[in-house]
Amino acid sequence: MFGERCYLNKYMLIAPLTVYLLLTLGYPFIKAIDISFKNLFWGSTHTEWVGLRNYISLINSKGFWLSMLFSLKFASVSTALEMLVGFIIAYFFFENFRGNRILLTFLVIPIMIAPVLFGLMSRLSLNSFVGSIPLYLQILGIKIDFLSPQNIIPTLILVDILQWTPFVFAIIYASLLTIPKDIMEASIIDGADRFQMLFRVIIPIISPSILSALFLRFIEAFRTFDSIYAISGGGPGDLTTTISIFIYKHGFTMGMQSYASAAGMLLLLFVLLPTIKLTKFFYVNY
Amino acid sequence: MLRKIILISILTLIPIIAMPLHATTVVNMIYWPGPESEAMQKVLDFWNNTEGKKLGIKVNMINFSREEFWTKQETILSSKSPEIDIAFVATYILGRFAPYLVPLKDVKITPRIFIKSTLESLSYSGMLYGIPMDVSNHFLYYRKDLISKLLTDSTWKTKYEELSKKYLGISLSPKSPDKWTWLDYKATAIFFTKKYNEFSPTQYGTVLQMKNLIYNIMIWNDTLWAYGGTWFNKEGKFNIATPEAVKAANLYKELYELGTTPPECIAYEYAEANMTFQTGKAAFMVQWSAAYHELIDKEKSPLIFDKVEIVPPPGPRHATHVHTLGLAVSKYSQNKEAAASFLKFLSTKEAMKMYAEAGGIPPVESVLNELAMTRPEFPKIAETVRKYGYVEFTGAETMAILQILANNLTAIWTGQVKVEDGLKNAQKQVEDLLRK
Repeated sequence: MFGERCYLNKYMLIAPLTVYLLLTLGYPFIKAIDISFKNLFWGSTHTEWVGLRNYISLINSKGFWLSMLFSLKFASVSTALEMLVGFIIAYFFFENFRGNRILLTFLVIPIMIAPVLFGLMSRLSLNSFVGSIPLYLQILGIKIDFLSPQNIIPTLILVDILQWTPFVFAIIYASLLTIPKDIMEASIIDGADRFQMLFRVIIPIISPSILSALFLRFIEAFRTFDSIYAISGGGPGDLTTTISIFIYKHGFTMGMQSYASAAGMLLLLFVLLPTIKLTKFFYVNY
Repeated sequence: MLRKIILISILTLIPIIAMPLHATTVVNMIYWPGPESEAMQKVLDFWNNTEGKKLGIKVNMINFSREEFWTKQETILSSKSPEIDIAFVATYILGRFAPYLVPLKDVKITPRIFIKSTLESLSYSGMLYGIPMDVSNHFLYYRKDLISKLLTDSTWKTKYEELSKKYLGISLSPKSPDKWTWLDYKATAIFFTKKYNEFSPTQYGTVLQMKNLIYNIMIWNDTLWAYGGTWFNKEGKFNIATPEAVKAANLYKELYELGTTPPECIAYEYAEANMTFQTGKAAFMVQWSAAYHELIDKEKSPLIFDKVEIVPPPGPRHATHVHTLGLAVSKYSQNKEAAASFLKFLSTKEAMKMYAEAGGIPPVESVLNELAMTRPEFPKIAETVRKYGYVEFTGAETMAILQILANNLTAIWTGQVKVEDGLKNAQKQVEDLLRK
């Protein structure tokens, strides 16, 4: 009897959140699926069922695949660099040095800034005529047009790194601080050098955190919208159009709600499989 | 005691019962924040304290933030909400909003004081939907000190002729900017680019806004129209793969490849173009009329504020895109008559003058001319819009067409695709869109 009440109470407790999620996520999700099979266009009063037409059109769309490919490349490069730089900085802080607390505060500031604002700030500071960064580089005799077609992709990656490396750093640094001291001392007594300690002790211990940071950053970078939209608008042409920008432009600027919903559904399908695999991996290994 | 209680109750209830008889109708109007809403607030204060008070109509202005402004309003209107009585509309979004709006003739409004092209800009399927409040067009902004020297200095003239012969294959003489064709624009851009003329006082001749953005395509359209092109042919068929469009697209491409505009202008829009001009890096540009006020401001533009002049965009056929921001009655409003009363008031010269004095740019020629002393650009706006203004399209697909053109033209300008291929691609995408 007591056990049954506990069982009921458990569901009673999660009921409000479940209802909230069903209303705020479940309903829009089902509605989006419904819309993706119609021809809803803003400004049109007539909407009808078109079956798989939007999906077929997307699969044949060069723009859709180019934006998927750009998102994949952008996410891979920026995440890899953020992981590397974030780890190096975290390890540097782990070594402890004077003034690290003040530096730590400055380091995490970029995460606090809204991505669209960070994008706008970057757009201005990288401008050749009024930007501070080109000005300082010019003093050093370096002339770079950050926003030219040749440099725009590296610039966007650089902006992403500047904003999100602190996120990777924060996760890895927090994880480094949890390593028991006795394990570190034992490895020193056993004769491990710095290199061995890093690769045989530290990295294996913090690997769940590294994988979490990698996973979160990759997903975030893959669906980047704000900063790229503010800096390049996804152009020139489709050169810097991420899948989020592709969906936004079709759904909101162009008013093609059904087409954009179908693109969102395809995107969900593509990311669902690796996400399930990765979640399973986490359950099994950690 | 009982009598007292009854008396007090009756006295308390009387005003409550009587209230609806004297109640004011509140009309909710959506507006665009910024100088436009500040100007409107002054007109509103006047209305609410005078005629509105007499009629028992109070207009309440609700400012949505500019971020996703249209999306927010479109969502409310498409949900058939009666919360909005007066909607804020613009030429390029009118076709999408029209199903949720009432044509002005249905609420018995026939505005007569506005410039014709601006009334066309708020008409859809032959019906006028909105009262035009603010007009936007383009001008050729140029440095009058530099152009004046070019027209008078023989050394500069000779150099100009040499450069035009070398890079354009034809010896051109400098002309006054009001007589420019796009070929003169190109020749002058080369002349004022340091790369070609070491004595040029500016680093670049011009600055183009080439970011993948619908508003930048509106500027490029001036070039297309100048060459005799349009979006739709006489039969009403969308037609962008034309010799005129090839010329217009090529012009931007060549100006970019020649280096007459900053290489990073592929990420430029309104603000960056202004900055380039304000810092004295470019000699001229085609820019929105709203920039004039900023460019002649001593504090905002200390280097060039007294050297700026404006003329209509280059020819051979001078043309400027025109769009207006306006107000329309929502189909789902429960206060249509009250909303219409306010819009009728706005269609008077008195209201428009008040709006202009407070910072708006109403498309009423007599009002704009009268304010020439305080806003020298106003008469020029009136004349340019009347003489050279065109409206591309007001259909529901306007924004989508602009976006398709932005995707394809920015690829053409930066050499990612051939001009003809890019335009054919745009043509096909728009045809597919219009077929849906």
